[in-house]
Amino acid sequence: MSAILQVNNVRYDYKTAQIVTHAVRGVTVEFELGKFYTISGRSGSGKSTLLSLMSAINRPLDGDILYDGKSILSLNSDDYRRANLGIIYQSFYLFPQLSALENVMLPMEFAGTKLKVEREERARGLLSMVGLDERHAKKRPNQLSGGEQQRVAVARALSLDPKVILGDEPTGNLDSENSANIIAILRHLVHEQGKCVIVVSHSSEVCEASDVRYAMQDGRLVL
Amino acid sequence: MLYTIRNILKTPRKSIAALLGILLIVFICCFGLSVKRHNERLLGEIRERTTVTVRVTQRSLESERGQYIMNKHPVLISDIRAAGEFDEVETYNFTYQAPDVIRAFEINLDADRLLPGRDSCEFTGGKYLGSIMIIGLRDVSPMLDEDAALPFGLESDESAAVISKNIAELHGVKTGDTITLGNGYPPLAVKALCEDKNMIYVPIRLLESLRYTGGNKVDQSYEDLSVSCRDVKIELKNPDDAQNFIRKTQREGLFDGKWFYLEANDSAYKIETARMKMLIMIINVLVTGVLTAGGIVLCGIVVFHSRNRAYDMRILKLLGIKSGKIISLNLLEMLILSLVGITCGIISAAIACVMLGYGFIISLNILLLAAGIIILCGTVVLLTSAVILHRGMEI
Repeated sequence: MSAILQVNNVRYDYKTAQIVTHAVRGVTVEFELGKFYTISGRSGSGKSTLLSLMSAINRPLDGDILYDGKSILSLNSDDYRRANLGIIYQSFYLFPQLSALENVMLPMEFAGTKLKVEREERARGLLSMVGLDERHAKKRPNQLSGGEQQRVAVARALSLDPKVILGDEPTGNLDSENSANIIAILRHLVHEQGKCVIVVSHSSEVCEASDVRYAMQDGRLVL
Repeated sequence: MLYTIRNILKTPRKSIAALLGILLIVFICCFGLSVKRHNERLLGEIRERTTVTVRVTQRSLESERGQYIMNKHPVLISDIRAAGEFDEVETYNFTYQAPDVIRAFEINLDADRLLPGRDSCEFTGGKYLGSIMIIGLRDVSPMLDEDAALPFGLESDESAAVISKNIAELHGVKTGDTITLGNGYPPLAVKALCEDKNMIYVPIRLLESLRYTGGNKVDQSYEDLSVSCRDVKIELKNPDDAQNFIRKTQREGLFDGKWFYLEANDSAYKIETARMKMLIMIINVLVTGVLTAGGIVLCGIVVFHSRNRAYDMRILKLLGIKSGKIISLNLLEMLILSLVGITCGIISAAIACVMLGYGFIISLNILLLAAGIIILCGTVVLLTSAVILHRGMEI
């Protein structure tokens, strides 16, 4: 199977007034659909930076990243992220003023799904898929547990049906039971829906659940 | 739009803070402007029914000018006409004192250069600018005190002169001596000394003849000086202009305060309108203060509001929403808040004004205020959002 996401010799530095930190040093890696990837490594090893490069939040200083054979550098980063990626963060990043259902509906609203009924139906389906019922759908994030919030975040990441799901420590704020639930959902996405899931994590449970494990060390990717 | 309205409704505290800030500024300014407009209308009505006249009267010249025209200085028609051409003047009129009777030339000379007989007799102006005056008289008018003029004996003798004692003493001249002024003057025989200081009186005929000898020796026309008048009344268009008009005429060199009283009968008007003017001034200061301080506070509120949206903006950006779209969402939100705040402010000011009897109409000032607030809020949101988006994309 051909790679959906290819990272070719990518380099990225953080520069402050006096110090240059080489966060990613010539990383080359490929990610395929239907596989669950984890990238682990110590803090500062460059794994989150690599994720931000793959999600086009930062632009690599060298090298290229291809999505479905096309360089993401030639695409509008916002369009690329919206149309092709679902991103899950450790701190959920849900809109506190919106209900769980509205949080999931929001990307569809911006993507131009005009009928509210259509958006609602899909959002309810996604929430149901991640194990949240109607009772949860009406609650605001601060009325949900951490695990439930993360499930809402996963549902939102799936709202535009992206092929690639990126996760930055998605279980970092969760207890073991909720972590297991999230891992199960991610595995379901990979193996039942054929998505490519790339998760940056310290968690050994997440790493063990993945199909391919990478590690980052001093900005370099090691197997 | 849905997102924006939902945001406003679901973050009531943030929205109400911005809304109240705008409402308060608009209310104070609209209320103040309406009260001011009401007062200005009343002032206008008072102005309409008030006619202020500036009256020009002659001062007594006895102590300064001697007796040559009964201690009266003629108000020059040319000056009255010049004053009458000022924008402030509605009409003017005057009564002739002695039409076509008093004829006088008034010439100032420089004393230092005059008496030694050097070429020094330059006419520097028709007013009393210099230290020595040469004054001639012709035609003793009914107004002229014959007793005062005749002892000078100037009517018949064209080469006679009467000079001040102090000049005579300074230069060792006595009655019967001949003095030469130069510059076209014939030698003059000193007929008498007078007590007035720094004066030389010469016959009017002599001055008239000099006028036509070439050179600009007499700088006021014979005609201008040919009619004197008094009791000049100048009616002004606007009673508020009275004091300014008086200052302006004096600044322009008309009606020299040394010779004339200028009085305006505007004291009743001043008393009647003083409180209104004070109120208008206070409102102006208040509105200016509110606009300045309010503008700064409003900027703060808007920046605070935008910063509160920083988290939302970051999420939207991570969801792949374009920066322009995010900024336009924030702009739309602030536009809605501004419009609601402005509308509520105007309505509440209108209610307050009507209840207090001031009346209320949407004036240009109020529209400008509304537009200014919208532009200010929009600009601040735009800049703040752009800065937040530029900074806040790190994961």
